[in-house]
Amino acid sequence: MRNYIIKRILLLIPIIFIVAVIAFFITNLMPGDPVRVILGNMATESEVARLEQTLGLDQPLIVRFFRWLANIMRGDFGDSLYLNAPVAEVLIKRLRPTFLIAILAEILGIAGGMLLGILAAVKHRKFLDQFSITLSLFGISIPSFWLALMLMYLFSVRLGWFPVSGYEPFAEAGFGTLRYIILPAVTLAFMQAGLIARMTRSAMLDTLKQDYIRTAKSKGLSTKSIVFKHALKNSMMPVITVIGHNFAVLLGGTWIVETIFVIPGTGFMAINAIMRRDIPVIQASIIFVAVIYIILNLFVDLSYAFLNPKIRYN
Amino acid sequence: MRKEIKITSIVVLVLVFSLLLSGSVLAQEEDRYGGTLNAALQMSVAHLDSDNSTDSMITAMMNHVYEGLFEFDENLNLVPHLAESYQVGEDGLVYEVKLRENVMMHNGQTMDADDVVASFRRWLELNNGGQLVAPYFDQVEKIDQFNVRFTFEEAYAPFLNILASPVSNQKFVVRAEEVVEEFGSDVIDRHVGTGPYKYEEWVPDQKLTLTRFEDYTPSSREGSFFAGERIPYLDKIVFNFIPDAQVRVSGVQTGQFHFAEEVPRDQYQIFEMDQNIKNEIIYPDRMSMLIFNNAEPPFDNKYARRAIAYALDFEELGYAMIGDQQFWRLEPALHEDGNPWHVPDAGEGIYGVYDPEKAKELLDRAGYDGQPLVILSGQDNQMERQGAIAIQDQLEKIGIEVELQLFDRPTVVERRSREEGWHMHLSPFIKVVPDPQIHEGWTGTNKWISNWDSEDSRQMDQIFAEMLKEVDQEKRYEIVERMQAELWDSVPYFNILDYSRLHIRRTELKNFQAGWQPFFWNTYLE
Repeated sequence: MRNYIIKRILLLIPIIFIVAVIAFFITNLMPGDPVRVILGNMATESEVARLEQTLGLDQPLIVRFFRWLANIMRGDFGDSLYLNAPVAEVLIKRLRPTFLIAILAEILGIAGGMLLGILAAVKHRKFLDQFSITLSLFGISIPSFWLALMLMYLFSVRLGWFPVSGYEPFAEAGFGTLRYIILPAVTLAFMQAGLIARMTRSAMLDTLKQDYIRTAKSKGLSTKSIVFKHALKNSMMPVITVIGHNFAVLLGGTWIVETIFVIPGTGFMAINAIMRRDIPVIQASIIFVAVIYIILNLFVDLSYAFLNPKIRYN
Repeated sequence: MRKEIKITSIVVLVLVFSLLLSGSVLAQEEDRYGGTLNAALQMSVAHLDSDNSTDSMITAMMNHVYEGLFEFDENLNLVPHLAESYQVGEDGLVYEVKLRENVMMHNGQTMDADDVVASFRRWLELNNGGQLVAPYFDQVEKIDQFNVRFTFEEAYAPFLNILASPVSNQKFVVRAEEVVEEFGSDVIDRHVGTGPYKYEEWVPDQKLTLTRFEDYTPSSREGSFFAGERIPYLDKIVFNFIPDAQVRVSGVQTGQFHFAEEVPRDQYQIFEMDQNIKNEIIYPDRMSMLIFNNAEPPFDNKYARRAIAYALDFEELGYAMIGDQQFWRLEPALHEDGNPWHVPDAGEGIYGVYDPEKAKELLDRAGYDGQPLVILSGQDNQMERQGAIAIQDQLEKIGIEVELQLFDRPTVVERRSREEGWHMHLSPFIKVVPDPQIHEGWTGTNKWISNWDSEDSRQMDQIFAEMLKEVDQEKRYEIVERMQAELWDSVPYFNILDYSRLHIRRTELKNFQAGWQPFFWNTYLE
């Protein structure tokens, strides 16, 4: 097991290298000139040339690439062209709201999704099953930007329960931070719950058909005990896979909700960076998402061994 | 005796009444103080140093922190602000400015000539406006603690107007000398000015917080827009950056924001019906400018450019690109009606004359070979997107093949800077241009993106050169008339129409004036 983990961690290096190469060239080859965006509409050619020189953008692409690669190996992602601050510093500052939203969304998604999935499986082909399937289909299909605006209209504009936008850090607002992140988290949780519900339902249905469930029933065990002690744990493998993979998707979803609710997280930062062609920030955002994705995959793989003792990583 | 008692009683009554009245006025005035104003602005800015950017939003916010030697009033008249008075030498080469005394700065010191000289040197070197002035400028010197002399090598008529110009962030503001020395040409992030509000906190992409400057020294002149008395009633002003228009609207509807910039015009009636919300239509605000690539055939020929003006139905374009007519008006002149530089007969015979037959005739005369014409425009802005589609539609109706290229802003900005690959570009321009010389920045030989290099462009350069030196207002106006006539003859670009953005505010925000840049001194919360 330990060797497997070390091997997987070592494999991170070539993967991140490939991601970094792609991130660098994609961002530098995309249309749009960051210098002209920074200088504004009426910038003169001499101003453009001066800023290009200051930012090192007048150098050939290949020179910039090796310089950038050498820097990121030292953990230096360069400076944001727009914010005049080191990218790593900007990224770290923005991590907290993003993770708060993503974790809250994940908790809500898992709770809601598994509840719906179990209900659907236990009440197979009954009203509750149909209801759960329909609801989960809505969760998957509704675009998050639309849902975000609808939730904002209902809970902020009509009911006045939450602010329409903004963010107060936990250090300043304490649990008041929840007021700002509940709507974004619920928006993301909808899709997550939809996926988890469908996966839980189908895995549970498979498990409930197994012989040992029939044996448990014939032994006279209660439905509660059968469902939660025997069926649920054995159905968790595909559900865990969905949860793990979708956490990375969920982090991607924060790009949209953070922009709508003006939450200063990594997603809002990345969207702004794309709009302004703040190349170092876009590159760091891509690498950040890739690293998170790889780490989550590793955790998902390792959790298989925990859930199913038959699996051995050697 | 009885008469005396009567008179005394009346006098006492009048005195008591006056005291009560003045007491109530004072109490009312006292009541206006306090509260935090939350404003929702559309775009964030990279930093708050106006000399290091052309983003006019920086000036719009930092107008509360910094002030100019001169400021414009509601009618675009130039008014001394931190300046007490000024004198211009007969030859137009020397400007002597007397500063107001005892004006407190946010660092607890009084503003003096050293602050003005240091700030001016930085402005001259870095600021877009300063760079317009620099080629003609000789030196700035301190005469004494409250008097400054600006000397030019050649006469430069628009000098004072450019000092106060809100266009593309050209305005000159007075900063504390110590800050100028500390930062040099680097981006300033410690802000010490003379304005009614002090810089408190800047969270990039999120908010800028300003607090009242208790020792603020207002001008004794009557307040009008940016000029005159500024009273900081509000304790704090928070500028929030909210990119999504609907979120800005929701924020005002819930009372989270007291003011929202640029909201969807099609929701005007909804806001009208809301008792808590007041619509604010800004005029003068924007022009929708159609710019030709004068280097690329067929638009290297002025007849082809004129043809497009005849081929377009401007009124129909107004409905297509803006919508409701209260938000737009046809206006051929670069300066709006009421502006001292307005030319009423600009574009006569060509502007708004919809004549497709004449357009075809002119295109033939220009030797147009039927190649597809590329319209390059932004997709994020309604005016640009809808306008480009409507222009394509109108041109195709008369048999001109059009290729539409709609991109996000950074891509548009990059592509239009190239000499080839596009023929027409639709762009919003700020309408409030306080001096006609400012148009020189984008009008003339190879100015801005026009790639205009011909006999006509050189003639335009000559007109601007004359305008620059002419200090007599009437003679200068005649030159502006010639500039407008030449512009509509050569047509390197033209204004399709003037249009306004819609801002909204809560009704509890009182005394708000719809200036061309939002400002919140003199406003208070009820």
